[in-house]
Amino acid sequence: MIDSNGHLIEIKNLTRTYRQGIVEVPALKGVDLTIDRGEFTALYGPSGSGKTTLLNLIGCLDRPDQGSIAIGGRRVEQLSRSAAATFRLNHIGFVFQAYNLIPVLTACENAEFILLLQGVPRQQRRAVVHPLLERVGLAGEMNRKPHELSGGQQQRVAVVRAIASNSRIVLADEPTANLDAETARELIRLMLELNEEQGVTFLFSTHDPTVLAHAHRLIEIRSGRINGERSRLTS
Amino acid sequence: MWKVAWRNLWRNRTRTALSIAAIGLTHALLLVFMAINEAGYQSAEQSAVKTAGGQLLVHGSGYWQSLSSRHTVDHPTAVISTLEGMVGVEAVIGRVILQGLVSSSHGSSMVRLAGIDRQQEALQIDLGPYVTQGSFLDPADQAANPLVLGRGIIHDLELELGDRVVLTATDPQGEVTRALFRLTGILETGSDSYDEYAAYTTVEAAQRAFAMGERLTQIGVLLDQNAQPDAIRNRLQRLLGERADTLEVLTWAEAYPDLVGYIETDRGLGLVFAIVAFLVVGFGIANTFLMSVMERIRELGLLGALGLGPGKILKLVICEASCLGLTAVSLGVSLGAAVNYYLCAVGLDLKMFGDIEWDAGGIILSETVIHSSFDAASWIVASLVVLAVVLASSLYPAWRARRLEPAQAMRCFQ
Repeated sequence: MIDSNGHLIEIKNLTRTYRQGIVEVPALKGVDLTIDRGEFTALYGPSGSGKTTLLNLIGCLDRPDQGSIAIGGRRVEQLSRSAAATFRLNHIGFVFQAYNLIPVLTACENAEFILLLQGVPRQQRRAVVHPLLERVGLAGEMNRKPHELSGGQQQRVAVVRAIASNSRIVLADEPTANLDAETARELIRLMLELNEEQGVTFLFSTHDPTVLAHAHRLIEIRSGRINGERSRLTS
Repeated sequence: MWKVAWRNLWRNRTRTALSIAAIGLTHALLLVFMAINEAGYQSAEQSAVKTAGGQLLVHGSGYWQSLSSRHTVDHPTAVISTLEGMVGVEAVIGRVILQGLVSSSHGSSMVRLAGIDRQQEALQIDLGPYVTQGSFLDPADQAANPLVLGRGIIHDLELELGDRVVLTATDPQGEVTRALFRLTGILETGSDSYDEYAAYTTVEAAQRAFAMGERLTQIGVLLDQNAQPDAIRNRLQRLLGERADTLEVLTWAEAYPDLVGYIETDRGLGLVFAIVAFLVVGFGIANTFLMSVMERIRELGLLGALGLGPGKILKLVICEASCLGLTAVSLGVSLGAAVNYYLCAVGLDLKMFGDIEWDAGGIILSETVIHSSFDAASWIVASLVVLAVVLASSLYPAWRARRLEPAQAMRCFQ
């Protein structure tokens, strides 16, 4: 379990450059950032500004060229692939833009997948996941496969999966990008409610003004740098 | 893990079904092929024992190499008594075998004359049913020198039952001797090569006609099912003492090394066939799994992002291969068992492949219907080998899946 008396996420001088052939493309240029427990924070900025790279690095899906990332006081930027996978499994929930679910599993099985990997017994898994699926309005869809669910329902299953394992951080990349406005609003409200009810820290990237309107803290990224940030009271 | 693997396997039903069918049918074919071959080898060995005259053969020293009537078993009664007293010996059969020439007014033909005791010989092989005209050395037959000849000789020499023929052979003293025989039976085994040189008479007639006294050229020994020919041979040689130096004692395998070589060669070819077949299948499976991995790069990336480590992703692909392999092997064993059951019960008549002679290494395969055999151990080993081939085929695709970087694989934030 991650634990620290300081910031939940602490990033210092984070730099990442991609190489495309002989061309070097700087994605992040010395980012400093802290995220505290229970925040509901949005990263925004134009395409190619570095939002994805930052989320990848925080989620231990990639390694920086320079700088450090501490999550709950633990340095994670140089974890091996296996150690990073174990860290993600136990501490970080993800909601992706699309292809979030495992096609061969039902909604319920997808929602409990992390718990399954953690070795939680079936009965216990069901005891955790069923109320959450009911909570997000999917009580009647538990046994449906992803292709039988709408885009919004799939994203809700992904949110349940992210929080069911008691992850304290949920990273979401453009979670509403493929949803219509109403469904997007519903999803973001759900995330916000879970943030308030369960104290889960949400960090997500988005272009969607509707989503941005719900964020407590807004961080703007441009050209691989944090261009500014502002906070707002919970609506 | 297994549940996900099993369901992944059936995402592309047609491809998976084709893979399972390919492996299963190849496996079934391999099992039936093995079972038929093994039964064929057993049948050939039995035929070899029959053709040779027993599991053990006692001759005068040097006989088998030269087939000369100079090399005889002198005073055979003592040898026969010794053999009959040995544990593991079922029957002892004395014979006179001479290479000779049978002549009629129409010509001459080479023959292998066997002087036998019909009743004793029947313990091993009864040629009576193959005698299509006359009788097979019937004791009621009053002919002094009865002779049964193969159909081919009858045809060449234009003989009829009751005809007299002259048999010429070399006696133990090296003298060329002629004797008059009367044709009392015509033998038709179905094997032209056999029917063109087979000639039978009684032991007594052969001994009398060719001045052999009580001498024999061969003593065939039939053994109990569990007796070891080599062990019996060693014991016999010890019991015979100095006499053993004047005799040669051969096992059937030593007498017919060509047949043993044929069986070993055939087994080797069978193994090569199996290896080639499963190499082809193995590459097919590797291709299938590689396609399956490449099609699911994004999904495997998702699994990695969710916390499934590289080792577990490798394990997932291997689990899928195990599911495929186990299903295919089960299908193969079921199909193989069904076909093998039929072959065990009914058999495969080799004559259906045409009216040709079935012999190997000089041995006539008198039994043309091959009944398959079942050896559980070899089926288990073959099934494990097939499973290993399937798993080995999935290793490279699994390794590729293991190396996927979740972020790149998903392009999740791009």
